[in-house]
Amino acid sequence: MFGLGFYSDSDLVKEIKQGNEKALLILYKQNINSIKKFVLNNNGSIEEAQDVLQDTLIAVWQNVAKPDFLLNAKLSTYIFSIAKNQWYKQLKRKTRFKVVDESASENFRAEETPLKYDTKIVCDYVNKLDETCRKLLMYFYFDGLDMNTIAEQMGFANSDTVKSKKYQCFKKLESAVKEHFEKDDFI
Amino acid sequence: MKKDIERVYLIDRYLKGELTGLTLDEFKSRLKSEPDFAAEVETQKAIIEGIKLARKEELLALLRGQKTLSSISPKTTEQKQERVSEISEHQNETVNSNSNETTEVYRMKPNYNNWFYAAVAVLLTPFIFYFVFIYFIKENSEPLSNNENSTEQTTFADTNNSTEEQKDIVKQNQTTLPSDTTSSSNNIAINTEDSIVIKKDKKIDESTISIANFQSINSVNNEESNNVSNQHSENSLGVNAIKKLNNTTLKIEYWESAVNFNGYKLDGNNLKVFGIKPDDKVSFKFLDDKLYIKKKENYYKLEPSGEFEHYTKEVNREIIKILDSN
Repeated sequence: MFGLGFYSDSDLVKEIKQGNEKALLILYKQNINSIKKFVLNNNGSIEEAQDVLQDTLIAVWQNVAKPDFLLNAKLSTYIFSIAKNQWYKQLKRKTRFKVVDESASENFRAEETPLKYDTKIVCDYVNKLDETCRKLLMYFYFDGLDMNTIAEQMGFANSDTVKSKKYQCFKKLESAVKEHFEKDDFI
Repeated sequence: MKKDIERVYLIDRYLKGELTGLTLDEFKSRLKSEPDFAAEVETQKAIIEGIKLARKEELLALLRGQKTLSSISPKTTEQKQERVSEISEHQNETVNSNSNETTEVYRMKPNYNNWFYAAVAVLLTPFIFYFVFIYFIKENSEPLSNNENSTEQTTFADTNNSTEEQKDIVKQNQTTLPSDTTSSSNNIAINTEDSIVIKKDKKIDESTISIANFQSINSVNNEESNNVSNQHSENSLGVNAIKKLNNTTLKIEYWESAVNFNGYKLDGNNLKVFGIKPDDKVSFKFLDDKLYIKKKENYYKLEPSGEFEHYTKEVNREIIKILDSN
């Protein structure tokens, strides 16, 4: 109730479902101490603890935003269990390989077939989009917000407007990316 | 156009794993039969991964404190008011090098319902207690102080075991009450403010007096004279057989007891008397190293025990006689 705990779990879940990034920062502050303690007690460093929590929170962010998400424990317990698993996974890898490459691509290694375009380059083009398109696409594809929530959050009239706007943005990005790679192909 | 929108949306749902049953089967067969469609799905998949990565990096940057909070447009006017426009330097330098877009920072609205009211409640509680407290004191102050006066009198009577002499003290106390109205009214005023506070013994006055120490020869030779003749001894010791010794200084403290204790404590040269007021006409006398207090016509012997004692009346006529002669 006091300190950062002004925000109840249900409030935080609600804010995450609406894509409010402040909730992420609050969760970080709420949980960093327990995660730090845990990682430090398990052969880790403070930096590793921070990384684990950051990755965990992004996973939590995506999970919570799913429409069928149901929280049946305390949010902190939920975060802690995910962080714990992540850290044990990392520890295993650490013992197997001396040098750990913790690049973001690791999270995408589950894909069996190689992607058509380099994710990093697509990412750069996403960031070159105008703010509305960028946010819209991110909310839809990463955060998993539904059309109605996005309409509400970004001030669109209704979900159909969001859908067509999303299409426009997607095509804009697609053509930019395509142009880039076709140019590359010719070289 | 609308067809395109729906097609892209369908692929989205497929990639999210939302397609089931017939729609999924249909989609899969289309993937096999239409290479163009399959290529489109691949493209979309790659682009979606790029978007996801961009968002992930954005959120990570936010968590690492490399980027400030950003949001597109405010949901409500309330948020508009809370909005703080801020140019994200990091973003300008690296990401949006072409367009100098400003990132708008929003503050998440805290849940006022809970903590705001909690704070108000916490702040108000002492006031409520204070007023309730005052109210009860006003209710109880007058009967309380009256009760105290009456208990004072009754306890006096109780402790006095109905001996006449001590009744005298009670009477005197009662008679002195009217003259002491100012102080007693002060007491009531004090009582109204802290009637709940435990009342403590109060020192009323303090004085140091010098008393002559007498010694009766009789008491020294008591056994002898008894042997000779009782009557003789009585005659002889009478007035003459008294020797004045050096003066003794006595420090007297007049105390008012909280529990209406009626007694004294004599410790060396310090005497504490309870139930006797400074303006009462009392006199002290030393005889044979024993201290006597005279009140009205009665003598009370004070034992130097260092403990609190009740006044015990001296009944020995001879001693009273000697004491009276000084």
